[in-house]
Amino acid sequence: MASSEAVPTWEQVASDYGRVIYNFAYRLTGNRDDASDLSQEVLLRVRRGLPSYQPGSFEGWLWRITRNAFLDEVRKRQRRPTTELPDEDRSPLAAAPAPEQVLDETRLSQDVQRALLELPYDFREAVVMCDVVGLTYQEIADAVDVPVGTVRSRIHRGRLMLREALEAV
Amino acid sequence: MHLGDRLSAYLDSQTDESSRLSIESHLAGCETCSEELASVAAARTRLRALPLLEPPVGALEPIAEVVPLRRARRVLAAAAAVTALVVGVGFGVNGNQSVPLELDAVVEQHMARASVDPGFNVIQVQAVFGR
Amino acid sequence: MILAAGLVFVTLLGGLPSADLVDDLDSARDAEFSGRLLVVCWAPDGVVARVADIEQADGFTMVTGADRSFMIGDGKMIEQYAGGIHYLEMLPSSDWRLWEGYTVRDVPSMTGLLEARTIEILEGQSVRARFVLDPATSAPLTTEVYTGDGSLFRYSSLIELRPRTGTGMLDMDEMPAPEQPAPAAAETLPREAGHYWAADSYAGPGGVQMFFTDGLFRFSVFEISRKSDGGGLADAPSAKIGRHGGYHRLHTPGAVSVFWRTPDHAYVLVGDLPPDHLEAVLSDLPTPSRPNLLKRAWRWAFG
Repeated sequence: MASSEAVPTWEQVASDYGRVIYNFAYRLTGNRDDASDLSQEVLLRVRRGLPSYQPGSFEGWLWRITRNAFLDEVRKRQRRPTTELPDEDRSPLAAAPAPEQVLDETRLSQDVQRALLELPYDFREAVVMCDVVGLTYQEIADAVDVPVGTVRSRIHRGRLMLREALEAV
Repeated sequence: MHLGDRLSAYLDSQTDESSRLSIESHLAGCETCSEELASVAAARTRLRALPLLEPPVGALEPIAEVVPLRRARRVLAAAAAVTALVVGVGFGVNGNQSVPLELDAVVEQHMARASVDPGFNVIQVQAVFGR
Repeated sequence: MILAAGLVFVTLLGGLPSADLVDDLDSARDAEFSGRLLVVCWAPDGVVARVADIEQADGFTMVTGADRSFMIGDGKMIEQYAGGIHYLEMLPSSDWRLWEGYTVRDVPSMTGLLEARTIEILEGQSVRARFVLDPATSAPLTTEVYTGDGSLFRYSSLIELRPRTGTGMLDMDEMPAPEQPAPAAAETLPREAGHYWAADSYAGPGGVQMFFTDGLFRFSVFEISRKSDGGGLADAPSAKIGRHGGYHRLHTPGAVSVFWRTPDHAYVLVGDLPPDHLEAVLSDLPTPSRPNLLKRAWRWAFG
């Protein structure tokens, strides 16, 4: 998922990033319907935007679109959902885990999801982009349009808050 | 003078070599920062362990440029909703966008899994009767 | 010393019947026959009954209907209809076992007509299910399922049973590749409901399927979009089950289907469990409720 010089096609974006975008959306909204709607919205925006995309930080560009689509939705709905993105090193092509494992992970991850939802949006977004999507601080800064120092601070405080929320469970 | 958010940058390998060395030497003598590092690392681990979920079928399929149309419909629907609110009409479940479910598909997927178990197939297949 | 040995023996015996049961179940599955099956269910909403032609061979049971037929066995479900063939295969992740709350016992045949073997499965002191097996084929000649208060809930009987003539089954060599649903995780479903446990979960039609069993009965709960129309179940009679209203329940002779909604999801439960078990199970699952007015207005407008 490294940024590349060549402009990817829409189909490539959908197949390389679709699942990650869906997971991001799912964690932010905590809801499959909203995540599906949002993923489609993001992919639509990508399709519209690709013709004018200038090769550069593709990750930054993509996640800026994703984030903006999400925030637009939030503004529209006047509420603040939460999302996380999957870890980058978990390949979408990896073999499907055993159902038992899925069940266990779900149980464990519910606490994390709940705790995430308690974080203020800026912090939630930062830790999700870092720890779920697997973006670098610079890519997050590009996507969110804040200095890298701010990203670092949000990630750190977000994690501390998350830790506190998990301990309170 | 503690390390604060540099601890996260350290965990994420987002520091240069000289910062890394000075962070490590500080950690060696500072209990406060070491504890904070452990807390942050624990949260980071939990986040990174979150499972990657499978999108539902269709969620990532190309959609045509129908969204503006849908938007238009939504605006109309919003107006209608406001009207309905004013007149105090109760709301059913999403009158405008129900998602069809194929009950046969549901039953079949249940039956297929049920047939794995040892047992009286004849009994288990009864669920398809009368569909 | 003798006492200790006796205790060990008794303990072993306690564990043995379900091993025997597995043998019976396996040989019942291996039986080859053709027949007609009558199924009658005394459901809370009334009696439902059905007769169907079936054939069993090679671990598959084939049910032939007017416009389509099914072949089911070992995780595979093949539906043949006018438009073609739908081939589904479920890969299990856990082994079968029988709930510890059941005990299995052989009982002498009451009929005196055959050397038919009768097996009873008891829950506590009362009979939950009774199977009468054909001595030659191990086919279940009759099965009876009882509710907790001892009344008959479902009865099925092979009203005709003959050696398999052997032409009706679909040819597995000509099957297309099966559709194999991937493992998936439900957001809101517990891993245990009543005394049933979740054995697997998969991506399913419109959402996620979680498969529960107690070894004797089994059901799936599908966690789906709240916007789902429930495949027509939303129009089924509404029912209060246990302490909660808001369910829609439909009985076919062999299964019960229940549909309900919460503010965030909708659910379909389908399975062969008896009504008192169903009630216990539903009380452990998310219960029907409606979103508050504002949320409903919002959803009504924006979907």
